[in-house]
Parts: sequence; structure tokens; C-alpha cells
Amino acid sequence: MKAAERDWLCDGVGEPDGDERRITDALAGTRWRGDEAALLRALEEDAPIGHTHAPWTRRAAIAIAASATLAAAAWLVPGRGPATPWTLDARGALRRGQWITTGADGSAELSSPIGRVTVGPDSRLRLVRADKREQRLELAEGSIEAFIFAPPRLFLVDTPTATAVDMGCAYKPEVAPDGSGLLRVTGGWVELQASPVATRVPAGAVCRFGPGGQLGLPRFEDAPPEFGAALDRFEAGDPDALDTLLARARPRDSLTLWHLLGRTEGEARRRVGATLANLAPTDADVVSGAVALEPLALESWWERLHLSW
Amino acid sequence: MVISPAADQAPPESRDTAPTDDPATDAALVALAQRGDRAAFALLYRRHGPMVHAVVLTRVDLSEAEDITQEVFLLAWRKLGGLHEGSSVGAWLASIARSRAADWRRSRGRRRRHETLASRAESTPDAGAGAVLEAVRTLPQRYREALLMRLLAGLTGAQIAERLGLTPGSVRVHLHRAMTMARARLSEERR
Repeated sequence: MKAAERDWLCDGVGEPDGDERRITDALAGTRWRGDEAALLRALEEDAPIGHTHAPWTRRAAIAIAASATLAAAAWLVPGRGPATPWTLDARGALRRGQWITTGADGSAELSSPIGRVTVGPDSRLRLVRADKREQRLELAEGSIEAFIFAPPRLFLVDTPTATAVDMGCAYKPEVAPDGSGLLRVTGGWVELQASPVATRVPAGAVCRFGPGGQLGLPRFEDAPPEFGAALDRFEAGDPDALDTLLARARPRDSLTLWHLLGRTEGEARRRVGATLANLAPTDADVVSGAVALEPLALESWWERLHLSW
Repeated sequence: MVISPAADQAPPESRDTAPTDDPATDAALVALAQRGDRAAFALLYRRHGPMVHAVVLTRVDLSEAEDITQEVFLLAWRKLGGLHEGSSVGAWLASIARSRAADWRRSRGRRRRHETLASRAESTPDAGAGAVLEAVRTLPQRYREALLMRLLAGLTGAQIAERLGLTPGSVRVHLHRAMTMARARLSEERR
């Protein structure tokens, strides 16, 4: 049994052999598709049973505490738009254009059939659009925590410099007064867009965005400190940091290196591609295509990489 | 508000597993779902649906597997209050899946399916997939589960070990024996 085969079958690293690939390909059509809408409908019908998890006294206490927090710290600016499926705690439907502002100790909770958004302290948020094609919030300042179970790309959060596009996930964007911020993803993944650049941030990773609209590179939160420090320097414009970045990268940091392909040029990009190929081997033509920034090659490599994280 | 760069944050715990196996996220989602948060439960559904489906598929036909997977999650929602270790939700769901699929097999043909979970007409496997599934179903149960968790749900050996309550070393052996046996079965069929 070859080492590469052993790694692929057990760890997802390396290449499957011919039979393994054939068997995997044959099974592709049998993969789980899921039907979240049907499940949620069933849960709705099943509510009385689900609600037995917490004693009613505890649930009542939670509700009262939440209302008190909201009353003390959240203000609503009346909106002019129509009522939407989003509701704000016990205050009823949120309207399009309506701003929610929380104080230093405040918080608020928005809910809709597609998920839940908790607004953190010192935050300003409004609902921009809410229809079948798009559910869009604008976070001007502060933070939110989102649990979303909509189809990918339906739910978006605009910040002053970037847009977070939900791909099925739980995440927390934070925005500073100067428009810079940090996106932290805890489940699924998010695409962070600041035209013309887009960054994919999976669970366990963070990505910064600058006040001028520049997107940082995503990194896993458990990245080695030396790697993180080198990435900070690289993002600050120090090209010499690339040496340390490549030397300190683990296989899991292929997330950062994959994105780095599109942020480097010439010899630097070839070095990134070579390091990435060492950490996460793939076909030679995929490597050369990715270094040439060919979309199909990049996607092919991404598909293999994300299974290993 | 100050944004802390990642390098200045407290050192995170080291993690060797993929994000979908992050026990802290599972525990947090379970805690929310236990308070009746359907959105959190829907995320658990996304995270563990492929694995549950793989477990179910080792025991029943593809045309039934999607429905049973839905029933497993509905059952899990009802029983969630009894789950004390939220980080073990994957193994817990796998055990419900085994039990539910076994029940389904026993009662097949005698029971009406849940109206809201109607099966899909297009879920008949093609010939290639059907042959592979048939070959996999002839393997010992633990081998089947490990192999389909790997090939269909994309779990790593370490993640499968957690779901099956085995050591990673045992799962490695299971996976390779399962693949060897599946190859042999398929090669016999081709002759």
C-alpha cells in the first residue's frame, strides 16, 4: 500500500488511485442533497415538542431579560419601506430602511425564516432589501452575529468597504468607525467581496478589510504566530514577508496561499504555487494553470483543498 | 471600537481537524438549538446531514435515504434535550441514524411516510452508483459506514473515528480493508 494512497483514503491528502477515483465518481450522484425548507416546516409543526427542552420558567426568564436589555439599549428610527419578514425581538416586523442602533451595553435580535442576526453593542444596522431574490443588511458600525440557513448568496451584509455574502453559515462581521473591520466565520463559509477582489472565508478563519476597501487574506485562527505576523507584514505592504509566510505555512494554511496566488505576480506567484503544491499536492496541470490564474484550475485546486481543512 | 488583528488575539487552541468537525461550534449550536433555536439546528443539519445520509445509505435504498435522513433530524430535534455533550452531536446523530434506518427496514412496506418528507422521483441511482452501493452493502457494517462517511460525506479518518467511537488507527484499517473488499466485489461483477 503506497503512502500517498493511504493518505488520500484516510486523510484526504494526495491523490486517489484509479479505482478509488472511479468508485468516488460513481457515487457522486448519490450524495446527500438535503431539504432545509422541508425540515424547517417539519420543525415548525413539531414546535410543542421542541419547546419542551427548556422549562417554561427558564424560557420566560430569558425572554424578560432579553426585552429588558433591548428596552435599555436599542432605538429604532422609523422606516418608510413596507413591512418585511424580519422581526426585531417582540417589536414586530422590521421595515426596509429602518436603522437599529444599540448602546454600549445593548443588543438586539432580528429573526426571519432564513435565520437570525444578533446585533452587538455600539452598532448601527439597517435592512436594505428583503425579498425572494435578496436579503441585504447594512452594518455601518459595530458587530453582528449571523446564523443563516438560506440558499447560498441570498443573504448579504454590506459594510462601508466590503460585502459579506452568505454561502450557508454562521459568522460575525465587525466594523470600526473608520470602516475597517474583521470577519470571523464559525460555521460554513462566507465570501467577502470588495470589487474586484473576493475572498472566501471558511469556518475557523478570519479576514480583515481595510478602510479603503482593500481586502486582507483569510487565515485560520489557529495559524502559527510566525505565520500570522508575516501575513500582517505582507498585508501592510512588505514583500519581504513572503519568505517567512511560505516557510511557516502548514497544509491548513493552504487557505491563505490559495488566495495569495491572486495577490502576487511573476516569480513571487510561482513560489506561492510551488509551496502550495508541496503542502497540498495536485495535478501538475492544475498547478501550472492556477499559477497562470486560470479560473478552472483555481477552482479545481480549491475543491481539493477545502476537503482537507 | 477597536479591531484586534488576529496576531494580537489570545492564542487559539490547536486544531487538527476540519472545520466541520469543530466540537466547539457543535456544542454552541446544540446549546442554542436546545433553547428552541431552529436556525442553529438548521446549521447542525447542514454540518452533519451528509454523514447521517451516509450512515443511512449503508442500510437502505437511495430512494429512501433522503427521507430517512430528514426523519433522523426531526427525531433528533425532539430528543435534543437529552443530549448532554453537545460536542458529541455527530456520534449521537449517527446512532439515531442507525436505529432509524434499522426501524425503517423492519417496517418497510407497512408504514406510510411522513407527508412533508415525500421521496423524490429522481433519486434512483444510475447503474454505476447502484453497483457500487450494492458492493458496499456486502461489506461488514463498520467498514460500510467508514467507507461511505469518507467517500460521500468527505469526513477524514479522524472525524470518522469520533463518529464511530474508534481510534483513528482502527478507522485507517477499516477504510483500507473496505476499499480492498469493494474493489474485489466490483471486479467480480465485471467478469
